[in-house]
Amino acid sequence: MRELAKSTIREIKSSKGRYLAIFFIIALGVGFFAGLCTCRPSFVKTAEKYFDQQNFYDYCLRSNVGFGKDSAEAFLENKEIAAVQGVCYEDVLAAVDGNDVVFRVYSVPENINELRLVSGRMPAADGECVVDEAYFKEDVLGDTISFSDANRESTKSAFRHLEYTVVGTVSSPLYISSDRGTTSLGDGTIKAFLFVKEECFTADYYKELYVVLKEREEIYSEAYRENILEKKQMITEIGQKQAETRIKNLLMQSQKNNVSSLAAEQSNTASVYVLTRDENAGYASFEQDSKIIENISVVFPVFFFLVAALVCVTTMTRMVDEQRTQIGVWKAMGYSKLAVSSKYLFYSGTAGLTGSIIGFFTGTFLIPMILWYAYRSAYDFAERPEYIFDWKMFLICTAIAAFCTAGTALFCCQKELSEMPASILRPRMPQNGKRVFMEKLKGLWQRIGFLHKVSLRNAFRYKKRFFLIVFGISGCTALLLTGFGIRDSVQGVTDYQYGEITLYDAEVTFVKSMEKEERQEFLERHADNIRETVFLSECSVDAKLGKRKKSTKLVSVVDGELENFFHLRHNNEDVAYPKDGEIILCTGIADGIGAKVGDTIVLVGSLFQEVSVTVSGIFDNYIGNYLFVSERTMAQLEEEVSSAAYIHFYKDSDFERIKNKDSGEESLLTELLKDETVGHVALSTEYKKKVETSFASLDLVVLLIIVCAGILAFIVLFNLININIGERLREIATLKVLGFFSSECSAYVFREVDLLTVIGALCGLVFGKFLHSFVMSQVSPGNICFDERIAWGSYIASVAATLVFAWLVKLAMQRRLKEINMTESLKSVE
Amino acid sequence: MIDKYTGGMTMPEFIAFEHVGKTYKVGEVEIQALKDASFSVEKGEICVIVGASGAGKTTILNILGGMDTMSAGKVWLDGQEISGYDEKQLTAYRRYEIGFVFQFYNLVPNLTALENVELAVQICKDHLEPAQMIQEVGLGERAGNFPAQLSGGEQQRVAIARALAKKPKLLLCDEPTGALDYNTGKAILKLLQDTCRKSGMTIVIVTHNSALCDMADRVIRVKSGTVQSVTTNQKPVPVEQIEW
Ligand SMILES: Nc1ncnc2c1ncn2[C@@H]1O[C@H](COP(=O)(O)OP(=O)(O)OP(=O)(O)O)[C@@H](O)[C@H]1O
Ligand SMILES: [Mg+2]
Repeated sequence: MRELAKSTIREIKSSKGRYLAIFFIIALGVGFFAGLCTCRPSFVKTAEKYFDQQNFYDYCLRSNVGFGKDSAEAFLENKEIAAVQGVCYEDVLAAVDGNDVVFRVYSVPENINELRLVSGRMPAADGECVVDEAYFKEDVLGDTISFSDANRESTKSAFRHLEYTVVGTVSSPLYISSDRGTTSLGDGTIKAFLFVKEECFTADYYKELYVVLKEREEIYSEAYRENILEKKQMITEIGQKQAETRIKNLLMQSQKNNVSSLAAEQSNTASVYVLTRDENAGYASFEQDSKIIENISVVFPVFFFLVAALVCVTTMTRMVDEQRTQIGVWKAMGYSKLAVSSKYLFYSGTAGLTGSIIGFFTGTFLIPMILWYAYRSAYDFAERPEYIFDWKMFLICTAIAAFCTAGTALFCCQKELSEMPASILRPRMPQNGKRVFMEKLKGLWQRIGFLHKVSLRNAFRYKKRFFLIVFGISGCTALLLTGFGIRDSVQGVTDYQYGEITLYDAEVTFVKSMEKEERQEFLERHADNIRETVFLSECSVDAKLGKRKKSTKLVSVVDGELENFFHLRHNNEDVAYPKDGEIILCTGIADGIGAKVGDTIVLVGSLFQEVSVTVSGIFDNYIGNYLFVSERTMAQLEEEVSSAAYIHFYKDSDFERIKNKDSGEESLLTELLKDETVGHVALSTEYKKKVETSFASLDLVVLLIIVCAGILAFIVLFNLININIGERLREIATLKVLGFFSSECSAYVFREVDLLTVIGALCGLVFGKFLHSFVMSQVSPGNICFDERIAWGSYIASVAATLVFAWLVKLAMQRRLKEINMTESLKSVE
Repeated sequence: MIDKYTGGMTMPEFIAFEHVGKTYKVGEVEIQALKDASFSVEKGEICVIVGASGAGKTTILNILGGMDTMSAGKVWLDGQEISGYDEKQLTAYRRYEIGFVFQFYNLVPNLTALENVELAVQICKDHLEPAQMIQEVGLGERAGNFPAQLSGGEQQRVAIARALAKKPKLLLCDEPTGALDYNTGKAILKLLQDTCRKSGMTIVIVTHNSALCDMADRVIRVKSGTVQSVTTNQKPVPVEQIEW
């Protein structure tokens, strides 16, 4: 046995390249798989740690009358509630660099949604505040923020001071994303938050109550959601009682003082809203974004494992093949089957195991780190992600790695070992030459130069070698194409949506249903700004076909032509606006309920009233879901509708009136928002930006895929060419003896590899196209349909990158060719 | 000074080995495969190198054929010094001047007999017609067969055709009959002898069968890396008449 062990160690030393190929491919496969799989758990744990540390809320209660400052006690009587925190807040306009921007000013919470101090200190005196670290730079410390005169009287009177000295910068768990929410002030978006001491607010009540339960399930888990849903009723009831108590107190007060309290009069009945974490923009979008990575992590690693298995199988087959005679000798000397195969088991097993272990730890450490780095542009609440070690995953990876390496080694040996030693010792029948199909085309074949003929015949003759190289290369090209394609699709979505489908500058939602005269008046009021408008009415419905159902927005045009605002088309053909009794669906809904043109679907309203309509068309739309019907069909549904309008502003070129070019659209927006009938204005450019930032993390994932595909391509090619050369040592040595110069020699060997590489790359394009559309269907988050188009540049780039990788490998292999020793390779038969 | 082996001022030797040494380094150990080996061969001769296994016959042939380098001494072929060649020159030397025949034929398995010959002449400027060469070694009917479809003797004929088609100055054969039976071996040797007599090509044959000495013009005996004796045969016997 000692001799066998020595022979094994020597084997590893003498074939470092092969040993390392197995090691690296396993490390890469396992690392990539485990790394991507750990991302989501790691990110969720990071978020959980942060949210736990800051004591993030479970429920947020609001009522039309607020809550008395003593309501906390009533909540705390309940055994299941751990903490309650009341907060006051107010949106204010404040002057920053001469412009009025909107801030939301909160009272500093004590035990829920705790702030994290980034610089400076917490406010200690009345006139001090801490500010949003994402908006303010550190040099703001010591500055004074003063609320603008333009604020409403009611806003001004809500505060004891209108000027605050900044003493610190903070982050709040309520705002982990860049989204700071909307408001009815200013341009409608809140720029930053401020925290002041509770005493700075004049109100004697809280606007919001935050509640934390004692029971803590893992965040984003089903268990957490169920627990929250289960106890929501109980929380609502306590909140309801508190709000009613407050009304009673208000009434008593007003009777006592003999003045009519506005609040008490307005609200004889208390209404309480209970929000959960899902209504927090940052918390919810973090979950969405981390899901995208999870979906990707399912698809790609499977691929990597396939290729890893392929590399192991070919390598081990080749190795056992080479050592056929040796195996015979060991056997002839009386070593047992197990003893002989243990050499190959050990060889491949150690490469696989060490590869798996090193790959696992590197991958699970590095990949979440890299992706977190991309995340930090959107969610900046932790320096680095939590490291997660998942025993189960480790065991699975190691088991698969062992199976791919030692398993294939065993399998490959089995055939040789079951032969009698004598027959193994005899050289194997040399492989018979055969003609390839192309030689039947006499005319063509005769035109090809001799050496090219040889390459062609070599390329097509050996089915196994042909298949391996073509498969390996096509895998790399497919991965690259998928990587590039994801970028195209993601970029395509916003470009296509906002460049070619939704053409309007802004969507206005009105506070009530607008009659014809009101619409006219609205247009007259804004005649200076609005160039073109189409009025719509909208409501929410369920679209149902058979058992499948989707909630979506139903839209009908009331006044104007949709054409210039929303381009209805599908497969590059225009789609006609539906007639009465007809409907057109966006692709997302059509796919979701499986509807085709000509189907009859049912629209279900909020009171379960139903209307049947025929699908007259399907139109492309990527962000958000819409259905369009005629005004009369909309009326048939008898649903309460709200009015909206798509708007084109005047452009600079239309009019020379825009004074402040930097905030052209924003100033128009402010003016629109001042209109009493307007509830909300969504600028397309703003919306586009929002969607794009949420895709930003995907970009790095793509980069990661491309880099990994590159490494993969390198390993696969290196290994295959290495094996190819190994199999043809005698042939190459013969060429050298015949006096082929080294350049001619490599041309002879590599011409065939080149041909197979090109074939592989072309196959990879087809393969990649399918992989890409599969991946896109997997990663699609909720209401966004990805455009499955891949840009021409990406096809070219993935083929070019593959060829470059192949070229690099060839460069490295040139040395190997040079080192082939003629005299030694030609000495014996095998 | 006139060396006794390159001696004759009137006629320079075709092949000249001068004090050639070859040392292999295997780890720490140095193996002396050749020590101070000197001999010469004249143009158009059949030269047989005999010696026991491990004596250094193959080493001599490899050095002579430009497949290996020497550690000491000089080698001349037709007035050119090979010992000073760099790798590229050696390749060109093998390409234009030398034909090889090996014990194990070393045909390219996925080329037909004819194509194996074509492969060699692809890179030569002046060469013989491959089809004709195949004909000459008696394989006209089998030109389209792949090596695996040919017997050992037939494969060796293809190998000889491949070597001869290049029109080499020197044909080197290392145990050309080593893997063949008696009669087939004889036929191969006859082919070689006939070729030499007909075309005047110089041939060096390595063997450990001393019976073959009778067919040679010149016999070089090698023992443990040194040349023991160089004898010339005034009356070489045709191969058919030799028995062993
Ligand atoms: N690559 C090598 N490395 C180390 N030693 C070598 C090498 N090649 C040959 N030798 C040694 O050089 C000596 C001469 O070898 P060579 O092959 O020339 O013998 P040979 O006369 O051809 O024997 P045979 O009749 O068995 O073929 C031998 O002792 C051998 O061990
Ligand atoms: Mg020998």
